[in-house]
Amino acid sequence: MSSLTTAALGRERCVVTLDRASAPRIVHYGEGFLREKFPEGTRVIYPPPPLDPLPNVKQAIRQALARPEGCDPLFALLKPGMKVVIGVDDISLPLPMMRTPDVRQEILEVVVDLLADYGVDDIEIIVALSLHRRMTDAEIRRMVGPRIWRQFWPERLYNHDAEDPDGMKVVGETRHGEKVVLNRKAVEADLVIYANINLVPMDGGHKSVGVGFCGYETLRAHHNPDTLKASWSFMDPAKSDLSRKVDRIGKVVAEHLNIFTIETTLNNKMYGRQLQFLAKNEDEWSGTDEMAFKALQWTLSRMPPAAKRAFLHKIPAEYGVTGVVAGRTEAAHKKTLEACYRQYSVPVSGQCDVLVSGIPYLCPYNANSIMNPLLVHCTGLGYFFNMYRGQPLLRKGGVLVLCHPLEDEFHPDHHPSYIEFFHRLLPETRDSKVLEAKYEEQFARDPTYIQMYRRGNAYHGVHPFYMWYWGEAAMHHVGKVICVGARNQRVAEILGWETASTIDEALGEARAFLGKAPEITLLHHPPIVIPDVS
Amino acid sequence: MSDHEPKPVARAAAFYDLDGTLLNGTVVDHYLYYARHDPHLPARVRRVASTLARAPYFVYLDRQDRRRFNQVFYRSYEGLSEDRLAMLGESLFEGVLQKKLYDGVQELLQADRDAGRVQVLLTGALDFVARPVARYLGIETVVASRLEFGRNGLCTGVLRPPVMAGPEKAGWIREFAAAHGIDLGRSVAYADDAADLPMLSMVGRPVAVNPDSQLLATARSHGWPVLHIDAPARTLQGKLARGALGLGADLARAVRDEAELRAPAVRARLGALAGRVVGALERAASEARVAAQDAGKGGKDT
Repeated sequence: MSSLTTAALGRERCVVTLDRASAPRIVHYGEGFLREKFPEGTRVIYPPPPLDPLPNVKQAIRQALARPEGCDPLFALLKPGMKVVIGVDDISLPLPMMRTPDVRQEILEVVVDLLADYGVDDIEIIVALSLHRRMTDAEIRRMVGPRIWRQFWPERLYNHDAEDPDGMKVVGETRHGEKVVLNRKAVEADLVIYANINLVPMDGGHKSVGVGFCGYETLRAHHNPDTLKASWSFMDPAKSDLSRKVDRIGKVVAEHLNIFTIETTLNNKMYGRQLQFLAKNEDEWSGTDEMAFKALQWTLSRMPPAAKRAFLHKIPAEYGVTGVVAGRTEAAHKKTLEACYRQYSVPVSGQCDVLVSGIPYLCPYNANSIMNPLLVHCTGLGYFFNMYRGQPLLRKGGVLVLCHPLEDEFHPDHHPSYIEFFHRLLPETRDSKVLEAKYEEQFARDPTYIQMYRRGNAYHGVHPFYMWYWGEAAMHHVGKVICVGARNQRVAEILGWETASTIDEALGEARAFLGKAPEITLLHHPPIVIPDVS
Repeated sequence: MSDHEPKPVARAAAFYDLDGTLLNGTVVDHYLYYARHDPHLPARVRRVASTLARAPYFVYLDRQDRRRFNQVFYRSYEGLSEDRLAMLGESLFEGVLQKKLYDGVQELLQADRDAGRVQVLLTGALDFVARPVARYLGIETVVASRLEFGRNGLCTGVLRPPVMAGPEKAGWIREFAAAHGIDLGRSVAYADDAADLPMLSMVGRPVAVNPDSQLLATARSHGWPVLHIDAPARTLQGKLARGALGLGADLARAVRDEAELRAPAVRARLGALAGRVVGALERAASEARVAAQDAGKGGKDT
């Protein structure tokens, strides 16, 4: 029986200190899992259990539209004959995709009915994907549901195109000289309604319209090494330079566009009943959990990689909607953030010397795609390192241990410019500032990549730069990155990482590097957890 | 130049294949246009039918060796006059090829132009076919196949060297780059067919556009960008079906044209024939009447 340093109540149950008898822990490892014994004294941080979902989501949406924050109810903003653009988040939210009906479908159905009741029929629904890849028809259909699909696709339901020469319009400029250029339809609409899913605190708010409908000219104002290096962390808007700049642009947008925001928050129920054990403390596993894990491991180990990937991406999350807030962007988002932290935040006392984290098969940029090495970098040093409020979980100069097979594998249609970035640019330099100065514009303006973004399903040519910059703060903070289980040494070398075969070996390397017995923390996620580090 | 002066930056270029890359067509389509517009009807029917009959052989040859295919296929042009080919080249573009340009082509070329790339159309198609396309697209440099013409101004069916296919395209790019200070590492090439792999391999950014299966596999294994802009069927079966349908349509058009051309004469002949038939019938009826009258008279007599 392990001795768990846990409190009887509240979030303190999410922080567990292992002893000699503790069970091995499950760590995500790409499209599989590692099961490893950790040293005595290792601190494990678990995600908080899911909050109770709303019993009637459509009812909550109607209430939010009728009682919005900071403005009149939606019906009072409507006039017959007005032009309305409805923006929706793209496939990067939520992760994994949620079981149907997607909350965007429920919002759209309620809003479209309301608009029809008030004589508004000039409606266009635009997937606000910024420089992400275009969603496929099947993906959009799944997201919006059959009714909206039949009614609007394809003329009035489509993907945003930031490279359409006639499709973008200058809105203005911030007092810092940042150009604000957005989707023309949205700029020229009488009313923009935005349906958001606020999975993490960095989502939503001014980011929805100000980023979702923008292009390279606007994005470069905040998606750059300096901004991302000055964000501590992305999950804490008050301390994030990224959020500050997005808000600055958002204020200019709000001056020119009439925006009505609808924000939703989800609970942490990423896994269905069959996989629920993955979010549990391993010391509390039942015999059924043990058997289910072995069955999952057995199944995954016998599937070909492509089939395994398809299988995992097809498993929807069982997310429940915990809140719906509507109204003016800032007022609504304030409430949304509170709901986000209510679900994810866990108080944690003190930093650690070694932070261990498993990298799963999925991140915001590879839905139905491959988790390539740049995305592993972005997930590990970008998202997971930034999962904190207060101060970083990992001490300055500490060791970050990431678990991933790290194959040299890219999706050629989704991530074409990543291939060139990884194999041509990174071997030359890993310095974000040099990459930005020397190559960013070239990739952003590249005709081939622009065509692949516009006509195929490719991320924009400049996107791999952002994936690299995303780890900027971590790259200046972390002393060393060790990848456990990397199958391709060359990939690790290009990323500037060291490798180890097992977690035990990685911890040995970390000990040697730090010159002392380190304090180790395992971030046992996903599901999402945001430690409030004191 | 002092040591501190920056070295002039070499220019980058963009090399484009034509058929299948910028527009939906093949050299066979171009030839059939000429064949269909041959002023001599028997020659017109012969040219179209002959191409149809040899279609499987052309497909086979194209898969084996593009250079050899061009040499064999262009023999079909034998006997066509140079001025007619040039004149029809313009109408081929205006009537057919302009409509077959892929949607994203203008935008792609403009973006390459904006990026400061020197633009070159490098194609196995014939020069009088490629020139109007290049002019329309704003591409200044055109390198295309050229036919040999005899003293009488008629085509001999022989290609003048170099035959623009496979390695010749790569060799031409190398010489062009050396002569014009082009940095091939920063240059881009667009092609749709595995026969253009040598051309694609010359540049730092090869792009497979609507690729056939072999080029797609190569692009995938090398991490080259693959661009799909309104691609037609690219499988062998698809090509054959498309080719057969096209040739069938061409043949049907030739027959229709023939019927239209000959309609007055046919109508006149049919009229004459009908007149003859009516005359014969009238004559027969009249003879029958006379015979009946004669028989009636005879009976009374007896």
